[in-house]
Amino acid sequence: MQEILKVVNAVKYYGNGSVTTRALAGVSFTMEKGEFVAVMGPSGSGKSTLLNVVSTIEPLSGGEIVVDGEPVSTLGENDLASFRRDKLGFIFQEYNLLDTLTVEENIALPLNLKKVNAGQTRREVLRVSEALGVTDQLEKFPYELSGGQRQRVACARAVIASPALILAHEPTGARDSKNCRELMEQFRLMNEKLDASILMVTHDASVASYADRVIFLRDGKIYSEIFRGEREQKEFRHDILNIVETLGGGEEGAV
Amino acid sequence: MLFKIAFRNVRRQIGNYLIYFVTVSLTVALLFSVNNLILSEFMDELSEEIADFIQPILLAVVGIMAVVIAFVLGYATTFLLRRRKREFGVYLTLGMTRRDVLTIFAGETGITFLVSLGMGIVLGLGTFQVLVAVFMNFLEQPYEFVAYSWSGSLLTVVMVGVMFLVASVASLLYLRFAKISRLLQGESTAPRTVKYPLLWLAVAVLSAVGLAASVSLFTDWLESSDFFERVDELALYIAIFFLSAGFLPVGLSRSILWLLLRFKGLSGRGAGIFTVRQLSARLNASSLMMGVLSVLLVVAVIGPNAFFTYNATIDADLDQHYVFDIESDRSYFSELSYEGDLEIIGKYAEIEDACIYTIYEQTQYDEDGEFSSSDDYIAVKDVSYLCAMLGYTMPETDGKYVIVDILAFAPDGAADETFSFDESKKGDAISLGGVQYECAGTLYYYNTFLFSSDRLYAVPDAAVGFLRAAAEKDKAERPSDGTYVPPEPFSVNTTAADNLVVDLADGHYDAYAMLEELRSYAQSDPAQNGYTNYSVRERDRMYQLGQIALFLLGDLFVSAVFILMTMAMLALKILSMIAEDRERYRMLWRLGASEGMLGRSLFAQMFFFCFLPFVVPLALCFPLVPILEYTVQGSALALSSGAIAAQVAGFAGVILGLYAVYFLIAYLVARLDIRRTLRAVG
Repeated sequence: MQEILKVVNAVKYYGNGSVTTRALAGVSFTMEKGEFVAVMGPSGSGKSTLLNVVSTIEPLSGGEIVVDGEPVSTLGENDLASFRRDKLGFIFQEYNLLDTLTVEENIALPLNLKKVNAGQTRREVLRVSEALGVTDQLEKFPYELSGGQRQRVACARAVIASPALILAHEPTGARDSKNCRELMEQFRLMNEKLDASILMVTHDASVASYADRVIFLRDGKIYSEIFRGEREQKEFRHDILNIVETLGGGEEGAV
Repeated sequence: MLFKIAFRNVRRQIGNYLIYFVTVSLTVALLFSVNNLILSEFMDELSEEIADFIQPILLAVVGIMAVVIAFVLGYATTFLLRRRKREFGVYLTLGMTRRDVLTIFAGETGITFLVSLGMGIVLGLGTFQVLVAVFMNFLEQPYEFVAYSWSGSLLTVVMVGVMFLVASVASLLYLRFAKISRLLQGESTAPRTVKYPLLWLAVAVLSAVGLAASVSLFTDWLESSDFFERVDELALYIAIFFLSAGFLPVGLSRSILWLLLRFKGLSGRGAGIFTVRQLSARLNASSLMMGVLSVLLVVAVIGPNAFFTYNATIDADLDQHYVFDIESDRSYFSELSYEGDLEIIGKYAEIEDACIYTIYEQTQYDEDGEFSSSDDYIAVKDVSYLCAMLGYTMPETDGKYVIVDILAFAPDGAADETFSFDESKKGDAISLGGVQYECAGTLYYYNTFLFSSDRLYAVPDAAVGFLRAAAEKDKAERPSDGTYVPPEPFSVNTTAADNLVVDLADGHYDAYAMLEELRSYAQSDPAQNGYTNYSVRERDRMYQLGQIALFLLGDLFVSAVFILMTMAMLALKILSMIAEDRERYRMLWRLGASEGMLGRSLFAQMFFFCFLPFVVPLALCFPLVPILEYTVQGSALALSSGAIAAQVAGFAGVILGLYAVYFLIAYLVARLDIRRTLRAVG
């Protein structure tokens, strides 16, 4: 299997001088292509920081991160933008669709940024919107869509440029259980049909149970990790909750 | 405590307040200079009659402009508020009362206003003297320090205070009544798409046609011979012009980007579609403002150009109207000698040449004692001397007389000539005192401003002797108190009136004082009806310059206010919009747009947004050149289109320069704002 993400002894400090906070204290793990990994942990465990350093939004203080064979810590400001554009897809908690753009323009945005020609962009938009069931909404603006439709548009935008890795930050936050379930099914769809590699940060055990593997963080370090393997989702969720309890934090959701 | 927060906020929000600070400071400096100019002793430099007439007009203009400034600054203050309403929402959720929040915001704007007032007055102290120097230079007088006017300075402070209160009202009312949730929401609701874009496209096209048509119709109107009788048409053209100037940006705002969006190939690369969509939403929401600003800028462009063009023709017009530097005519009753006048003139300026000549008027009455005919005579040697003073050598007359025909224009083919002589009347004869005189020819003089009659007979000395004797005899017979005595049937009455023309070596002197002394001297005439008229070129030039200088001052002030306010409105509005767009930029950055790409998108949005109101005023510069050229065609100096084009382009350049300064400040503030957002954690 191709290694899509390698995190080696990742360290991240915030602040400077005498007042510094260690958010990551040497995290190491790898992800294979087509893998769906969830990261869990209590507040302050470093899971959001991990996602931020992998997404290059924040620089590492130490260690190394390699995405699709490219070490990100060596990249300059402009190269980082290109890297995010070419290698990463994002799904944010609040969808983060640009309200001034139509659905089609939102989905096409990563290809526009890559300066792909109009014909190919249109073909790709149709391909992913068909796979995610938003073809009928292409001419609409985000404010004209339901919450579920916005989720699907956000997913379509994340996969259209065939990124090496999709990063999802609390994607089900503030959603009702029906929407959460729908979104997770979209994730599985992207993972299985479009062979997307997904790294998702969540505090919700039910959401995490859709992943192939769950990494648990505590105090900036990997506390534990479990693989789903052949287990049923319900069983996997139960195991996740057991670890969450020993972590001494987190919340339980019901999806 | 609250003022401490307000003070700290101003310090931290220096970028946000920069445009506001610059605008208020410049406005205060402008008001301070103009108020001081109007109410200072500088006005005494001008003639009293101009000052008395224009001073109240200028004060009214300043008052109206202060109201405009107050409303614009009020509008601008709401932009500042929009940039920070989330912050105020947080204050409220933290338990501050509305009164506290109002105090903080009023404190912030108050601090900015006070600092701007101080800075504006300091700037104003300098700009007032610069303004005085410019106007003294305009009046071709040496610069002298002019003391500041207490009343002008006080008026400025009062005006600025009232402006601050008016400007703060809207924002404070908003803060007083806005829901906390709305403040916390920060961003405005999702911008809607343009409704009826085709209709707005039609409005834009119609406005462009209206603009072109009104300019063309105005030109036709100007070229027509009866334009004074068609003033109602002019009103219609002006109405069409300003409506079109206002609606063109409105139509363009709501249609041009919609058109661009239909061709995605043009905008679908990079952040193009984001740029166009953002701009489309912003312009759609601000289209009315764009129209109003466009009209203000049109006024700001036309006024000064018209005044500067008129000013350039003053000297040339005076050259035509004044053949000599000083001209005077004295009634035949007068007992004064022009030697006394020359002595007075000599005290003020060096006399280069002068000519005292006499016009004899012989009037004939019919059998009923009614007026029959009248002829004017002048000594041929006086005509010859006047011609020499004007650079023309008259042919020898050999004791004959010459007819002097005075015409308004030279015939075709002789356009540049002032004089011409031909022998068309040679051989004609007149009889004076029983002596026949033969005609040597006709001298044509193409200027109607020297002599009051259209034909003179320039006669030899012998005939002049006869006329003088006749005039003295008739004068002696007339009652000295001017009582009218009916003429006898078939009588001939002769009068002799002295005239003076003077050429001076000095161009500029105290013409007002000289004229006053000359008039005082003329009043000392012992004859009861001995009036004297004086035409002093320099005095008229000073009078016209003084008049235009003050009108120009008013007009430039209005233009400066309009331009400043336009820049400030555009800059502050776009900054408040960019503040609402922060999250969108961050989202785009996360998706892989580089900072350079975002910077370019920001630049394109801001440039297009700020430039749109300038489209009509700048486009107007092209037809303005031939129109101004035409308006001065009637004057003595038909300015070349190149000179007018240079003036129009220069003025447009000044406006664009100011625009560039504001745009650059706004762009750098916005870019910094976006960079900070991108750098923010998470």
